[in-house]
Amino acid sequence: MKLHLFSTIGLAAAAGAALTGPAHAAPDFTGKQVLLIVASNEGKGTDIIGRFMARGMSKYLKGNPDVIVKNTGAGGGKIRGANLLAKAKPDGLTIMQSDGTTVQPTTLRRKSVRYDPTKFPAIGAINRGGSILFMRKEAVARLMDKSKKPAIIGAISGTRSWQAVPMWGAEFLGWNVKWIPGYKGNNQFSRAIRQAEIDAFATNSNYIIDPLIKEGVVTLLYQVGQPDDDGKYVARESFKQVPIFPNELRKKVKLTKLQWRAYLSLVNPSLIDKWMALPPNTPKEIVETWRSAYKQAFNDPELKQQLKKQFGDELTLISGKRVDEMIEEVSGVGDDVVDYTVKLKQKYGISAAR
Amino acid sequence: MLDALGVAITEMSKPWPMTLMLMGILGSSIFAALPGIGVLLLITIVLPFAVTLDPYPAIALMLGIGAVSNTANTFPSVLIAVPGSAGSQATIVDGFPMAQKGEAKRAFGAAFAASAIGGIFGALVLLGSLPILKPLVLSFGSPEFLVLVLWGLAAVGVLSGNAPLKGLLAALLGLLVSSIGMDNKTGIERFAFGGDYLADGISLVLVGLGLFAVPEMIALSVRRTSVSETSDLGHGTWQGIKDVFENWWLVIRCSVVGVWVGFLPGLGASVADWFAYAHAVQTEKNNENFGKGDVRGVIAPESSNNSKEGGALIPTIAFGIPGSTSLALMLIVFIAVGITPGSAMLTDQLSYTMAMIWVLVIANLIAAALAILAAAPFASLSLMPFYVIVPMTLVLCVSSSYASHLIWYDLITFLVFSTIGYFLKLFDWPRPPFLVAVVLGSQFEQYLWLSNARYGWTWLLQPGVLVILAIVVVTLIWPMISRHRQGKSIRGEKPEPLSRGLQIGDIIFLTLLMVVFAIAASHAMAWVVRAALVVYFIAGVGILIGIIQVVLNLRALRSPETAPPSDPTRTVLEIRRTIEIAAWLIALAGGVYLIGFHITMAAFPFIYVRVYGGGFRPALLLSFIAEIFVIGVFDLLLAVLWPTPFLFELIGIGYFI
Repeated sequence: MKLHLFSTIGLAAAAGAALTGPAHAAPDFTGKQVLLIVASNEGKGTDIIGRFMARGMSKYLKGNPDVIVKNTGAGGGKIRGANLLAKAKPDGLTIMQSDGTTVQPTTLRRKSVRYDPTKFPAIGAINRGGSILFMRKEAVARLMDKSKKPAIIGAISGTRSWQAVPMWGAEFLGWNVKWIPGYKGNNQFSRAIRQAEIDAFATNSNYIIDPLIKEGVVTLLYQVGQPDDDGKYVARESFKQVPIFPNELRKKVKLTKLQWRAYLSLVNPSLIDKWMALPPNTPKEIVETWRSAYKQAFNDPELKQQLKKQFGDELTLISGKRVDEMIEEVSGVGDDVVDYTVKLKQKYGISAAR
Repeated sequence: MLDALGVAITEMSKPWPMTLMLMGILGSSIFAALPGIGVLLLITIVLPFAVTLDPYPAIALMLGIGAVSNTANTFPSVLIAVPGSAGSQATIVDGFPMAQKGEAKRAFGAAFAASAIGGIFGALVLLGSLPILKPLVLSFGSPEFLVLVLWGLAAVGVLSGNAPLKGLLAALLGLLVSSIGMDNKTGIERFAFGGDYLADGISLVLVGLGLFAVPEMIALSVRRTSVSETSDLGHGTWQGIKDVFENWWLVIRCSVVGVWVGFLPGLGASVADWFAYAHAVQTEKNNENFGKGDVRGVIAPESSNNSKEGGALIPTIAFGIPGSTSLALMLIVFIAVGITPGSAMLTDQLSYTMAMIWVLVIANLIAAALAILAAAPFASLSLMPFYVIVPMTLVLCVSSSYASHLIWYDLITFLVFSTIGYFLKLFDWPRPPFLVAVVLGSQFEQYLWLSNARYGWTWLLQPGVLVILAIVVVTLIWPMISRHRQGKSIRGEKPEPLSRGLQIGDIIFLTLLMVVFAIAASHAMAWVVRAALVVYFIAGVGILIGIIQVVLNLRALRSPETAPPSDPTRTVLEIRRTIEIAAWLIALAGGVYLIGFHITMAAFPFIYVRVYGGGFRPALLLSFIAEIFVIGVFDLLLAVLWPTPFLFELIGIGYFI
């Protein structure tokens, strides 16, 4: 048993004890601080959701703990955040807000990964609706005409789920596209598409899509869609008129099992979208307490209104249990699938890395 | 527009927005003065409260914080050569030497007056550009960004002073450092060696602290004097303010530089001050004193780093594209309270835009006034003995290094850059080119790639590119022609030659550098060419220039005029004291690793002060202050997750809950 030499102010009475108590009693957060590890930069979607949800959950946890936020950055920072969670004490005082990138099969095969996402008990997730691929109006005519110059798609180094749509479009539907990787994120894409430096990108963030539509710059091409219980892809409520890419793909082309699984391996992490989790081996009662607080926070009218202002109306709560199942499915793909997606990315010059 | 301005002023003059603005200004000033902490933290702290406000109070609070985030960060830059934030690094180059000459008050007066004027200028530019906001932002694409970054990199030549080859080598080393991390065009993690630590690159905080703060503290502890080499600090504050008005044209030009840099999303605070400084060195008459305590070397960066805030609001308002992380967080608040970036900000929400401009103006005036009031007490710190300044600065540096990302390796990285910074200073290498290259290197590579991938080489012929290139060429070439006509050397006075011993040390340093370049290039052979090209360029050019410099050094060794013998007594004393302070620094880092921050940060100043002749009470007081600082800032405010110290782990004792 470890003796604890120091305690920070506010924790003296607890003498280093984690959230304990008799079995089945709700954990008590009185006088505690919760560390929220946010696996992204400040001000990004993951960060916004994490901060708002953490603040909301605190209201519904016994003792209303303070939440301290630590951002670990984008890119390698997402992996670092998950690595930190893997080493954290399973005492309910450390949680992580991340996104689908952390559970992507290609991410999980990086040498720097020291976590197994299937071991993180998920608290829950918020899905903002699938990504919408849009293109500058004048570029749409070139999409199916290889005699014209290709439509240019902006890319970061191959980690965005929506890249699967133009990749499969190019590979199987004859799209006339060319990728320029090297952009750093949506802010740069937003500028570049307005300047016709690129012709297309995709996002699920309404605050990016709406201004582009209002300015008359873009046409909405396809959406990623979301599978219903029967496995059929359905449209986002506010984008019902936009064709759903996987449905269109399956109508026009017969994909092999490998090709279809590879597509799903890229797209499915985005269905999890912004998820929150606890460290491995967190006791069940603590997990359930957090899950309950997450659900209550999501349904809190004031918080819901704030989230809608940032992300639009189509926010869906995914339960922690369901997130666990989705992560199992998403991260359990075989090496053949990963190899296929890596080769395809390399073929189109999106990424040179494994 | 006038109606909207009237509404904005009326609303912002109400007690609640005024109170929030004042609180924001005060908070920003305090946080900005704490190196490594910064205003971003303050923004994240107030965010949950700010989203509950009405629009005008939210603007008052958030812009009260943001508008003046580069005012008070001058204090540590001038006093202890520790950059208060990325936006105050260039101020050190002349600000710290001014403090050494007993002119800290003058430096502060000049800095704060320049900051106020620069900030107001930025606000006025924002006001003036409202009708053309959108076409203005859209006129800058990747090629235009590239040329601007090139302009910044060209400043390396200016910042190299009388050592152009060494300046270029320092810049190449900085470019190499900037290449560490994820390459966005290929996904390859360059020089990450399979770990996640280096996958995101090197933190600028660590580079700035190591390059400037530690070498200056080493120099101070070798000299064994206070920062100020004279005990008379004079009445410099008002002189500094007068200096700003006497150099009004420099202030205007540098404010323009700041607005442009702020307006371009992604270039940011860490660049504006260097661009402005380089511009000042290049264009001002009698520039031989830059780097030695020339007040213009403080005025230039301080004008620009406040004016950039007005510039940064332009893309934020026009398109909702924030130019910095701070603005990204502010955007969250603005959206939450009902302010919609985009066309509405120029039409039915114009009064909110006007409110932002109003706060920019008023906040800069108030912050400057507050800072000027604090100038005298802060300036008196430059009279403190070295055994007060050195340990407290090192405590601050080590704490800030860890606190920025909570990673042990950051301490090692900090020590590495401290070592590099020390040797660069020792062998008279200019350090600003290194830092400028670290800041701009990755952007240069990114925009060069994007421009070529998108346009081929035709980007060179785009109108925007040609216009900017013309401006850049004029600002670089014209001063050279002008100086040549006056019969002055382009590079100013020749510096004192290095002693023989240091020349030999310089040769060894150069050789090591070339070995590093060669190893980097060989490592890069495992990558695709797209990712490796920049490293090949750095290594090829670096080794070539390195050889030339070695040859020049060898030639200098032949003559006692160009390589005078050193005073052996003085040399031995300096070496001994340098080894001592290096040992102290290693002991400090080692102490936090072995027994933790809290014990080490309390013990270190106490022991240091007592060893070098300070009394028991001052030693205890400093120890107490250091401990309160660590607990107050890092425990309570930042809630840093301290790692379990090694010895605690060994014995099996937990450290913190």
